[in-house]
This record gives sequence, structure tokens and C-alpha cells, in this order.
Amino acid sequence: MKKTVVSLILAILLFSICLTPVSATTIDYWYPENQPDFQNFHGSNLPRVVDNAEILTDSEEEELSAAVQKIVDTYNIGYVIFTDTDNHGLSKEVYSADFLYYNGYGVGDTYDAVVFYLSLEEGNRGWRTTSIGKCEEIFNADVTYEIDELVDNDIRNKGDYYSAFKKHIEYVDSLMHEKNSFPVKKFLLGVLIGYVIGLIVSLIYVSGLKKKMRVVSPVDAKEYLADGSYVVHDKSVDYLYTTVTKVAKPQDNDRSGGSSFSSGSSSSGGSFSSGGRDF
Amino acid sequence: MSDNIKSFKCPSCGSPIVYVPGSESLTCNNCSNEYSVDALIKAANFENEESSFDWGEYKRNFEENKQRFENTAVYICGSCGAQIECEKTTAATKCPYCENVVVLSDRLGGGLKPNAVIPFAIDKEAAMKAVLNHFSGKKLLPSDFKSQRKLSKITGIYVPFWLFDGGIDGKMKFGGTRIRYYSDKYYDYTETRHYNIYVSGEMRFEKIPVDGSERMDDDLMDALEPFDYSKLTDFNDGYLSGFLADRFDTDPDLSLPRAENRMYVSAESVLRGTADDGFDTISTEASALKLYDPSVKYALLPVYLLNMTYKGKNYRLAVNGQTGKVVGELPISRAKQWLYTLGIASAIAVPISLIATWFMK
Repeated sequence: MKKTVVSLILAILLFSICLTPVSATTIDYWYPENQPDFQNFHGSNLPRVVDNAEILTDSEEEELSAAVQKIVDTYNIGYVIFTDTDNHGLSKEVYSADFLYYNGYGVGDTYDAVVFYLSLEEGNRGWRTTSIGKCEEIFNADVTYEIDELVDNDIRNKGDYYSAFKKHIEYVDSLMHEKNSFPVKKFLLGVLIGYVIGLIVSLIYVSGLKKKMRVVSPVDAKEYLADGSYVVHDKSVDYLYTTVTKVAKPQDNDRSGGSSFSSGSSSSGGSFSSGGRDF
Repeated sequence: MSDNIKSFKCPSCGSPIVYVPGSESLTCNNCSNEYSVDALIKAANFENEESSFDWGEYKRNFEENKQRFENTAVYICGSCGAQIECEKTTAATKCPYCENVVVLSDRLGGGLKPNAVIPFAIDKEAAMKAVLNHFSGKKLLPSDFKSQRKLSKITGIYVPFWLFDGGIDGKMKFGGTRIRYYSDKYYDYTETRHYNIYVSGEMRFEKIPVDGSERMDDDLMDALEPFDYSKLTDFNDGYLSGFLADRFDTDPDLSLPRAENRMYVSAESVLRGTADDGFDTISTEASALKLYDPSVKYALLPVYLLNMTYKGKNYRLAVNGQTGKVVGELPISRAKQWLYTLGIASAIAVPISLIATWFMK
């Protein structure tokens, strides 16, 4: 009887564990208890470097935090460096997007934020630059590819994560500066393109006007061909040879270098874009 | 009055009478009486020699008469008795003293007589209007170029033309290709099949006009085409009254290559059209064409001429006296040219610059 009661209790416990949803509380401390009811929010006093993988020294973390905070203050976006050794069964993309949403890193009405996530999970190592809100437009496939190229050697070959993070911060600073300042060079290039096209069109038009000022005499005599006078004596067509030229089609993954880029929805239901490489 | 000079006078009042463009009559400017060309010619008992045209005969007559017109000639006006000095090729003119119209018939007689004439169909006013219409579409024309004062100097003149007939016979070789495009997973292919195409044939051209006057710019006269040959009529010097007229002074042998080249260009185009039977590209590789059975007729065609001087340069305009088509080089306003170039460039540059800048964000 005692055995039966113990078995029953164990079975109930096991059953209740199985029925328990995969909730945030079981994954990490920052996951909300009730995900379906999650509402976006603006977090306060957020750390700018979350080194769960403990790969940075205190001084490095402090230095990086200051640099990231400066970007946050200057460009009014959420930005964080995040490392972890466990993705909790989620993809790196979703896990990093969840990190942004559930910690309230998004800024402004559209909750704009970007995270550089380094996963050191055994057998699932890689990095992702994941963005939400309007940052999705900025950190597109081309941008994340450039970032991947920038940090690849430091992370993959040297294991110098600190250097990789610094480069990421410098890149984001430069990118956001470019996006937020008046694009003088692009504007001048645009004006130059506009005037080159405008000049070509106007020169064609004016040359047409000038042509009207000249005498244009006929070069042929088709007006004077007598009706019915044309007689074909002979016509023959001889086949000679065939040539074939071929041009290789561009392959989609020509420049990937192992980079991947995807868009999707995080556990919170909010959208994200994410690009990076595994190693 | 010399037999070589014919002046058309009103049988009623004796004033000069002139041909009315677009009609078959001559009008007296004084009493407004109208006379049919044929009736007047008969009445005046004009010589109306028929000449069956033959190129060989024309060549002989041209050579025989060449010496007669080497120098400037002087004629006595039948109306006022003034001496009229005119160029060797002038066939019809006006007395500068009494405005009497004079046809120098010895310049148009015998072998020098034109086979045909297209009478003027539009008058001087219509020609001036055509010139003004021609100006209105010219955006680069200097604003001070056109003025009625200059336009009033427009002059109607019968220009001597050779009308060449001839056949072109020959063969041509073309290179043609047919192109097919296809792809597989890795490559885009272009398959080009090459062919030789041979075409031989013949065709005939009729009445290709080439001006027979050295004084007239060939390109200008060519540009006046086309003339409506359905209005081509037997030559009658009554049509010349009231207009100037020139006699030919260019050997038809010298004029023939101009017509011949045009025949070759058209013949090549016609043969090429026959060869081009669904080919994607076609190019001429060899051509062996020859002119056969050429013949020529001599005709006077109606042209209004207007010389306008602008900033020291003379601009000659010509108006087809039958159709009103206006041709001729016109001066270009540098200021307007720059204005249009920069104005249009700026108008296009502004929106394109904004679009380009937006796309580069």
C-alpha cells in the first residue's frame, strides 16, 4: 500500500512536470512568468554588458559598458553585449531577441534595440547581432555580414572576445553616426548622379533642337522606287556553324563566409532580425 | 525687241502679266484681267518646240551651247528699252526699271528646253507664312532673326533639275544569325547559328531629282523633296512669267553619281529586306550592284529662296514652291542653347538627386 502511494505521488509529480509549460522561469531569471501576457516595456538601469559566460575581466567589462552606454545615450537606441553558455534549447536568434524584449532594452515607441550575443554553449557556439524595432532596418543582412567579417578572426581564430566586442562597438558607433548625421557625401553623390543624368538628357534634347536648325537631305531613293519593279532573281540561305557561349549563374552563397541572416518572432511575439556565424 | 526675249504683256492694257501660282492662268497686275496660259501662248505665237528627250542629244546640246553663255549677257527690255544685264544662266527675270517680266527664250530653246515643269502652287504670301511657321518651332532661333522686312525679300525661282531614271541589278551577300537562349542550374547559354544569305534581284527608280544649277546648294535642294510629280506638266514658258528662272549649268554626267548613290542605298535596303527572313542579326558582307539603262529628263521645279544675313553670316532658306516645305540652316542662339541645356539638366537633376540620395540611405 505504501509503495502504491509513493508510486502514485511520483506519477503525479512526473505528470505535473510534464504539463508545466516551457515558461521563462524555467529557462532564465529574466523570462516573465506568464509569457502570453507579456507587454513591451522600457527597462531602467540596464547593464550594458551581461557576461554570463564570464569571459571578460572586470576592467574589460567596465570599459565596454562605458562605451556601449555612450552609444545608447548618443543615439537613443538600446544596445547591449551579451554572452552566455546556455541557450536553454532555443536558437541563438530567438534567445538573444528574447533577451532584448524581456529585459526591456527597447527604446522609444518602437522599442529599438540591438544586441551582440556570443553563445559559448558546448556544441552550439556562435555569435549573432540581433535587432528589434527600427534597428531591424539598420542591421540588415549587409550590415551583419560586415560585422561578421570584422569580428570573425578575433572570435574564431584568436579567441579574443574582448577585441571582437570593441570592434562591434566601434562599428555600431560609426554606423549610427552615419545614420544620424546629414549624409553629405551621399547627398553630393546624389546631386552628381542627378546632374550627370540631367545633362545627358538635356544634351540629347538640345542636340535634337540643333538638328532641326540644319538641312537634312535624303540619302536614299526609296520614294522613287517604281511600283512593281522589284524582281527577286534568286535567294539562298546556307547554314555555316553554331557557337555556344555560357555564363555562370551567380550563386546565392558566394559571399556568405558562413554567415546566416534571418528574421522571425521571439517568444514574446515581437519580431527580430538576426545575423551571425557559428564556430 | 530681240526674238530671244519674250515679255508677257496684257493684251488689254499692255502692263506686265504674271503666272498665278496654283492656277492655269496669268493675271494683269494693272487691270486684273486673267488669261489662260495656253491661249496666251498661242496668241503670242510662241515657239513651242517638241523635243523627244535623249540623254545623248542633251549632252550634245549642252556642249554646243556651253560657249554661248560664258559671259554675262545684256538684253534690251521690250517695255521700257532699258538694258538688262543678267547672269549667263538666267532664263527669266524682271526689268529692274519697269518691273516688266522677261523670259529669255533662247536660254530655254532647242536642246536647252526643259521637258517639263512643275508650276508654282503657292504664292509669295503663303511661302512667307510657311517660313514663319518653320521659325515658330525652332526653340534655339535668335529672337531678333525673324522679321517681316527680311521675309519680304523672298523670291520665287524655277530651279533646273535633272530627273534621273535607272535600274539597279545585282546581288548581295549577308551574314545572318539566329540566337537561342537557354539555361540550366549553373549556366546561362547563348546558342548562335550562323548563316550566309545570298539575294539577287533588280528594281527600277524613276525621276530622282538632282539640281542642275551650280549656284544652288545640292543638299538644300535635295532636302526640298518630295515634289508631287502628278503635277509635272509639259514645259511652257508662260509658267515662268512673274518668276525668276535659271537654266542648267551642270553636266548631267556630273549629277548622275548623286542619284546613283541614292539608288544603291535604297537597292541595298530592299535586298536586305528580302534577306532578313526572321534572322536576329543581319549584316552586309558583299555587294555587287550596277546601274543599267539610265536616262534623264530636264525639268524646272518651283522654289522660293530667301537669303537672310545674321551676324555677318548668310543663311539661305528654300521653300518648296509646290508643297510649302521649308529647309535651310538657321542660326543658333548660344544663350538659348545654354539656357535649355542647364534648365533641363537642373529640372531633371533635382528630383533624381533626391531619389538617388534616398536610395543610398
